[in-house]
Amino acid sequence: MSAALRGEPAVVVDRLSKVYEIGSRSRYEPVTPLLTRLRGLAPLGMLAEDEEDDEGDEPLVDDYGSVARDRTLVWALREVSFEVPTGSTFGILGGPGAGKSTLLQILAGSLPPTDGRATLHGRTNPLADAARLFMRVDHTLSRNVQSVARLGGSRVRLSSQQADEVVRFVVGPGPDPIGSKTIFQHLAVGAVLFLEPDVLLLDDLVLADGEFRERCLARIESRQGAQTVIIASRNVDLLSRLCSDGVLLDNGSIVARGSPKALAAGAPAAEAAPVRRGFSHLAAILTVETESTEGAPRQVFRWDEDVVVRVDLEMLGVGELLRCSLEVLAGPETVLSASQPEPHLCAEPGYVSLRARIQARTLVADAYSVNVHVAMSHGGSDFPIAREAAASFRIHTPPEMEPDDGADFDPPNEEIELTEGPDSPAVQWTVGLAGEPD
Amino acid sequence: VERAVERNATTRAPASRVEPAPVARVIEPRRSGLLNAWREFWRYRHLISYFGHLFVAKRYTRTFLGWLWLPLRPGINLATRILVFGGLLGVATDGKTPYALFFLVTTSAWQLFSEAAYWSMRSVELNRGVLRQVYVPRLIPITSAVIPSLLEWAIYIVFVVLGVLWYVVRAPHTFYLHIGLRTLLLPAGLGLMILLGLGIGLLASGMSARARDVRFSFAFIISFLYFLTPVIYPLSAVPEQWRPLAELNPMTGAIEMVKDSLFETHSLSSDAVYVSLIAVFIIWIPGLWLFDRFEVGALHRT
Repeated sequence: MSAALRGEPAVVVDRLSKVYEIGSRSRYEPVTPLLTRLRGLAPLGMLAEDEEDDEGDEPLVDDYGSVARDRTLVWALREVSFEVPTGSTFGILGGPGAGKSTLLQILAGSLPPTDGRATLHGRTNPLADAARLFMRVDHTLSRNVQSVARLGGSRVRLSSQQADEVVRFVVGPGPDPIGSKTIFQHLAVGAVLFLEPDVLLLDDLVLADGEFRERCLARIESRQGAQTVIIASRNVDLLSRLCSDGVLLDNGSIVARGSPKALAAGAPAAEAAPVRRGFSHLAAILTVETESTEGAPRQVFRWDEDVVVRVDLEMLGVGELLRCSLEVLAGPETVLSASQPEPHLCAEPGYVSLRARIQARTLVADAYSVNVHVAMSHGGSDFPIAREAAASFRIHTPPEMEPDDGADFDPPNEEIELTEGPDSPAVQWTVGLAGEPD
Repeated sequence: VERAVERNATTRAPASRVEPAPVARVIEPRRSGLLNAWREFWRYRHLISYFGHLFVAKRYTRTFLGWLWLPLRPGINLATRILVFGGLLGVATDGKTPYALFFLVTTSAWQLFSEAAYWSMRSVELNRGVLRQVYVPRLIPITSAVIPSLLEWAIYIVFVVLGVLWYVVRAPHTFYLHIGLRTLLLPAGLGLMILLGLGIGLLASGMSARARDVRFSFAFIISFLYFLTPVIYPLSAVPEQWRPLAELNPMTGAIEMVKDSLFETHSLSSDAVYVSLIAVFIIWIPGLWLFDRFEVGALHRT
């Protein structure tokens, strides 16, 4: 960092906007096979299955169809402007879906904005979340760390010694980390911190774990002043600890600027604002937990047990169709993803518990983590509202089972990948109303 | 933590003096246009090796023999085909070139095309997880298909060299390859092969990410094309009245360039070359333009 630039802003964000057009067909939506389509064209009543649908849903289907015809623009970010002085730590406070991640992704260059511009002086890091996607189980930990560094650009490198240092930082003095559930996520975070970019971009979500989080924060604090940091979080305490300046984002717009404490005080006022532009007000993910089929919270499952993922949601968008989906990851790789086959109509504001039951033997014995997304279903495409990388669980094989049964339950990589889509038959969804959580 | 702080203190002090002033990076909305597409491609070029390596690994994961398949697949492939076409069916070559050598050269070039087409077509689909969450210009994974195809080609070349050596040992006074001025046509022919292969990926990768039907159909088209193109037979084997039709096939020009460069078959007509070049332009120019429009307009996150 040159002395000439000190005092000048390291990051200038000028009326940055990100607009999504919904109602248009998404590119990755799986196609409906021809025969199914033909069946859909058949007059109602010709096919028995069609009649089995809840009759109460009929008008809903019509609404849904009419909505699909008009396209709406949704502002994930709307004219966001701020400056971050060189060497300072800047906080972005906001609830789930406020636009924090979108903003960071744009600054990191992993999402092009629709309008506006941002000027960054110096190198930035790839976001840890994105970096994790490029990691591979068949590579060594330090090689994975190096590939994260490469993501930052062709000239950004970590030497193998530095990569080993990252691995030591992440793993600590503990036992062999292979198979540890969050190791890849932590490696990505470690790599990002050790890249020592001029402008560090960090999402608080990636620091989820207790002890590791503390180590990362300590490292960020130790470098305070030497690098510019932009950290997004919904945690006021964390932001107050690291920064003295920040902005409060709500529905894609900046509502207030100031110290995190002041922003937190201002947050309720923002809540009452009548104009809602984004989606974040539609629903919030409260908790994600794994439990046994009997409903008891559990993290360890036997190979022949069903795994139930419970998602507690607060639903506020009356009249909206919300669809919950989950992704099960082993290390950095998505091994199973499933969405609710039918979106859930939010009839009145309230709390809802969704349970996704993953059938036994769908997953091999391993450690997994679950990502949960909630999206608004609108005209055939889903628009993300909130996202949570929360629960983790482990499926263990009884030792005597391992030698001969291992192969049978090993899901072939490629096929599982292709189960992506609204309905993986291995996962069953149930919806239940829940009382307000404590 | 203390240790880390210490290390930083010692390493940073000199570093801050040496480092040049950080360059300003401007993030702006994507702009359409071929020039901007090229700039963007250049900025993301470091990811080509990542995707390329992924494609290579994809083929050999979950195999017991692993990387041994790298030489085995082409080896077995070549051996059976040479036996069937050269031995059983007795396909003859133009001149005095032995069939095995002829076949090795043409098939290695064809492989460059079909591998590039296969991987570029699947590139978007295979990397869906990454592409949907991180913005990477689609041209990057598509171009990365060059890496597995060049790797496979290199292995074929080893077989070609072995074949040449075999004939040198058998008949020391006749060298079947003609290395001369015409050999300069070889890189041009191979380049055309790659461009045509990637062109298929450019057109089909988006669709193929949506429906597997596209991939299946293209697999049939390509294997059909393999027999329509003079790969396993010389162009002279095509009856005179059908030859103009054969030269309308854009692959003919490319493969004849390769043959002419090494065997001096003199079967290369300028018409065939024009057809190939025109095909490259027809695929790439509107292809890139459409691709660019598609990329700017469409959502890339669901």
